[in-house]
Amino acid sequence: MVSTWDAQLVDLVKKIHFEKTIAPRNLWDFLGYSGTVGAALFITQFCTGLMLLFHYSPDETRAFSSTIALKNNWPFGTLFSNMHAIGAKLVVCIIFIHMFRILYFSAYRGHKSNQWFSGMIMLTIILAFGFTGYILPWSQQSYWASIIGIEAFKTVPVIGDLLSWALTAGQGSSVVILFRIYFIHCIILPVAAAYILFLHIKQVRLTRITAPPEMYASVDLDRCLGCGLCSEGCTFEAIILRGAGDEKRPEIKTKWCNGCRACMENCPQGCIELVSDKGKLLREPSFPHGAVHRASAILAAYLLFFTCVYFLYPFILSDKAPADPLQTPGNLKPDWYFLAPYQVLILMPSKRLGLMILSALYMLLFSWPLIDRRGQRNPDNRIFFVPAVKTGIVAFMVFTFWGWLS
Amino acid sequence: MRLFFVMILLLGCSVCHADSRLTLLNDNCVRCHLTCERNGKPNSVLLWKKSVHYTSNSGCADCHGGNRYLDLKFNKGHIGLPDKRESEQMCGQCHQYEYEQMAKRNLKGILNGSKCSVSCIDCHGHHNIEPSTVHCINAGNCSRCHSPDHANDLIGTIRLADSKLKSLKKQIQKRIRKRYPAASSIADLEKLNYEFKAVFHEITMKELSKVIRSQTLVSATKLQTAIDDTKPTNWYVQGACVILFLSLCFVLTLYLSKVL
Repeated sequence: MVSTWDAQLVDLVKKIHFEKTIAPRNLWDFLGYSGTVGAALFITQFCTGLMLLFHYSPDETRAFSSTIALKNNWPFGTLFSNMHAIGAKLVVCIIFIHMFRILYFSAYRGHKSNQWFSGMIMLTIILAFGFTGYILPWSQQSYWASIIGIEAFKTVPVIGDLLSWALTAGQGSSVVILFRIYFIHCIILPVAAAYILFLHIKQVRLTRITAPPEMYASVDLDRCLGCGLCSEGCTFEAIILRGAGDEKRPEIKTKWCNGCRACMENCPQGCIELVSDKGKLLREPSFPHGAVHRASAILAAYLLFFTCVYFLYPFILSDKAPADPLQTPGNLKPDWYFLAPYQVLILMPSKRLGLMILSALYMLLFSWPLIDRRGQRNPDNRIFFVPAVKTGIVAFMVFTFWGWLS
Repeated sequence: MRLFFVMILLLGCSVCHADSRLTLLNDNCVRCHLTCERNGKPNSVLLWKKSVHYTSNSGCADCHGGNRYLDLKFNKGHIGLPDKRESEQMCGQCHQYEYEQMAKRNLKGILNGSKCSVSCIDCHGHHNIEPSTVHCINAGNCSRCHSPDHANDLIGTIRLADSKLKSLKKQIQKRIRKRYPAASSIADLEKLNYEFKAVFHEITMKELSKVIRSQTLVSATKLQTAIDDTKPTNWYVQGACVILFLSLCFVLTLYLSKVL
């Protein structure tokens, strides 16, 4: 008699192998694995963060020296420290690529809108990780970044002073703020991130990876029974049933089709598939084909990561000096992902106005699935949206570069 | 093509608006004070334009209060021209630690029976504020209160300590370029720099020379010995092994994806 766990294991392997996923057609499609790469790097950050946590001291007088002691006295101390610092910069870059790809493919509509919201919350958590992690070493950059951060919080309407008080207990930048930032970075944010990441990945598993935007559903009318299950399952009202009785057949409005494959799942005959002008949707087993492709993407990211950690770190990580309240550094800049908003704030006549504009942009991005609910997905046919996204990306890069130069 | 024009537009804007300090020059304070001179004294705005406050975007209202775009009346926060004691509090709004150090120093002086106390503007000036380096201590500034001989002796000690610290910094940077472990040396040097700067605000002139010789120069010698004793690591060999291993794995996955 076969034991239960053997049978379950065989069932699981069969399920994973026969479960189909979308195959990459070219190098650009490998950007579709940016979410997986981001998650892998995030786990790396968690592991290296644990290593640093064992040696870090959240005391104003000992914080900096504890980071130095880690590098000098412990095996692989410099490696973990560099990995954590450079990983933080890289994970934000990968998450931005992931987010802009979702935006470009309009993969946030319908039942995928919850993924977009959880993804935006995840992005906010990662940016908060970056800000709080920057302060923890209590170096010159950290100390003055905390002063600028507190001043920025004060300009938030209504709750600004409360936020500032919560971080400093009204004492200015001091050991109180360092311990609170440590608590936020090491307890609150990891717990929140773990929960939101779990929700996000669960939603992705339920709703499946989005098909390329030029794909739309197509019915093989010869095999179709006219049951109408495809129309019932379509949340974008892209399938209309024409005819009556046994002659009922579905007609697909390609401009409304979002490529979610709900109709394919519902069809008992399997006569619906995704097609485009360039051919059918390519699919492959999740294991081992999909797993090998994901591993390639993760390894490529790790190659870049470790090249930066071992060989390029002097150009990426600035020489750290302990916090010196008597000396304001001449070239004080935030981390790269805050350079664009920083430059916008410098250009505005008032900090409050600048923060309001940035907040409005963030809220617009957050609530975009509520604004763009359905319609054309093919980027070639979207004459306003795609140029606006590209302009946003270019503007972000220009402001980042400008902030780096100024 | 559209993207190209958008980029050109954004870059073109930066031709005039690259320097956000242009907004400072259009404010109400500058418009009047740029053209008036009082009692033959140098123009404050022109002095401020050469100062470190100008390069760090600190304008008139940051020290003298008021709102430079809207209202300059006294009842809106503009405090006008402060006296010497008020000027210390004005500096202390941003430079809080230095203000506390100076207050301790002046209190110590008063307790020791001294009748005079030095304020921020005595060494750093008021509108033509330069970056704080040891060159603020010069015969011109010091001799206003102290004898030239005493000033020269003190300046010599200070310059010796400063040049020693700069030499240590260059040696450490050279070692970093050669991939020697230098993290603790950097930390020790910065701590030494911090203590060296703190003494100027904390200690009276009488004790300054003695403290620099007994603490700063002795610590600098110990740090020099520590730097000379450091040895290079095998960091690059380790890095090459990791990159090689990852490259092999990557090539393997590419081969598998072709085969499958």
